[in-house]
Amino acid sequence: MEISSSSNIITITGNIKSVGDFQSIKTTVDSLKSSNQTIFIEIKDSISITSSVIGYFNKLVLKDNIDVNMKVGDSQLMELLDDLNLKSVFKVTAS
Amino acid sequence: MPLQEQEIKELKEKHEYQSYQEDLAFAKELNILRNDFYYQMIDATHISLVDFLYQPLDLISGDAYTARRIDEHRTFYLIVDGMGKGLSASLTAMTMTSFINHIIDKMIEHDSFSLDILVKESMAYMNPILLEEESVSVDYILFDTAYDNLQYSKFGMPASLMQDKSHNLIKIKSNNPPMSKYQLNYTINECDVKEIDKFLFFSDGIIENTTSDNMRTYADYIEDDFKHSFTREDLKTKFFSKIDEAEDDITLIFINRIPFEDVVSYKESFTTSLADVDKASEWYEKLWSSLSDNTEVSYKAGVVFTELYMNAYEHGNLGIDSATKHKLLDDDIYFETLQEKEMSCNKKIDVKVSKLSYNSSNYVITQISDEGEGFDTQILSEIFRNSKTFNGRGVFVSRSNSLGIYYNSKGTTVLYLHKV
Repeated sequence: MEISSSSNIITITGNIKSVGDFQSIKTTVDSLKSSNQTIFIEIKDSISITSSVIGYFNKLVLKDNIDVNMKVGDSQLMELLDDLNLKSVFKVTAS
Repeated sequence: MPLQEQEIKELKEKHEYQSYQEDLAFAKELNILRNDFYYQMIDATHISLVDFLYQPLDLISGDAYTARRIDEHRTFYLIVDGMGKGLSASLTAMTMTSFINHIIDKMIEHDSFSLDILVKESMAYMNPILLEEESVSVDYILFDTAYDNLQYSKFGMPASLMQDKSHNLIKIKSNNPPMSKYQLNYTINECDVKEIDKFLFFSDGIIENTTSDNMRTYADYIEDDFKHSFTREDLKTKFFSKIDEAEDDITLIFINRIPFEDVVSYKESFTTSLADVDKASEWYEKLWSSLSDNTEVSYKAGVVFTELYMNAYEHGNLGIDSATKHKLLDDDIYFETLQEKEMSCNKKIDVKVSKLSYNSSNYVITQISDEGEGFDTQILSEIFRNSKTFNGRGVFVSRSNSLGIYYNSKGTTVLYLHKV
């Protein structure tokens, strides 16, 4: 997995899998959230996502009141987020 | 209010009331069906993976099932199929299942389980309830892993299927007519299942379903499909690919006995540390690169490993419950706390992996064991019933990315499968 950021836009390429991936995502988003109330996250091609990443994004929205806008490239991940009723929480759209 | 508007309002209220009642009835149905093996394997002489497919046609089902752990060696399965469809069939199936579960609870409590008494008492209970011309089909199945035998009393049910180690199919036909009001006698038979690998018990809904060619029912396909299915998912996929839509309630129990310990090819033991979480992930990823060149399946296996290994690490060996974990994450001291706790933990996490060939397909089976206190897998039923409002996304994500996950009865070992 690779992660890059520009302004309040975060782009994740490759598959999200390991604890290390979660830590990278958390570190990147944490560095942006102090100066941005709205964050755009594009998950380009990951087929799935780990529960720790879901939990972290959930906390961003519900506790830190960050406006998360997620773009998802893979249909399997889209389906998983739908099953978990997270599409509206993370304002998920297809990229 | 104009008359038409009043009528529409009344109709809407009636519909809402009915819908509310149906939801309550379905919730009650789910309470009546008991499944002691919810996301569990039976880890006796062999590992048995027990899977269910319960798909009512309407909210009120004429089918019911139950699966009970009697003791260390014995497991009991029941399938009830009420005559016809709708409320009457459902009342019969649910009343009978409810009574049988109560009797089993009492028998377990007094350590006095008897299949003979169970059949006799449930017939006596149902006789006054059944209508004059009503009949009900029932499967009573008792496994004893200590003696590798199966006792059964089948009342007008389709023949159950068993497959032996040489891939021969064996049918267990009904040894009783459908249960009816004035029936007094019954038969219980037993058979040796030492050489049996797979079992399939089902109600008639699946075999009477018309297939897409409209000329045949699924009865013509089930034996062959069962023979070539390694898991319930395989069979389910084959069934639904051959039909346009389900025409009746569908209930089946699929049991696969796997000689897992005999075929373990790779095993590794890890300490309870974040450093070993990374080490284990790297080991597993490297292992998969030698097992399969399908990158999608390898990735999915990696996601499941991350989830379930982390559960073994944090919830199992470190004993951190979900509420504490969420608080630590909220306070942003999660990783620091893990590192602190692991200093005083000398428990291990064992990982075993095997590759099995079955009907020209290969399956990779992974088992992760921790040394924690374990947990009651029944809490997963709430998670999977209400996927939209749950706590435990890791297990949901794991199930979505594998052919199935199975815990031991204590909740300290989890096993999952992938087809490669």
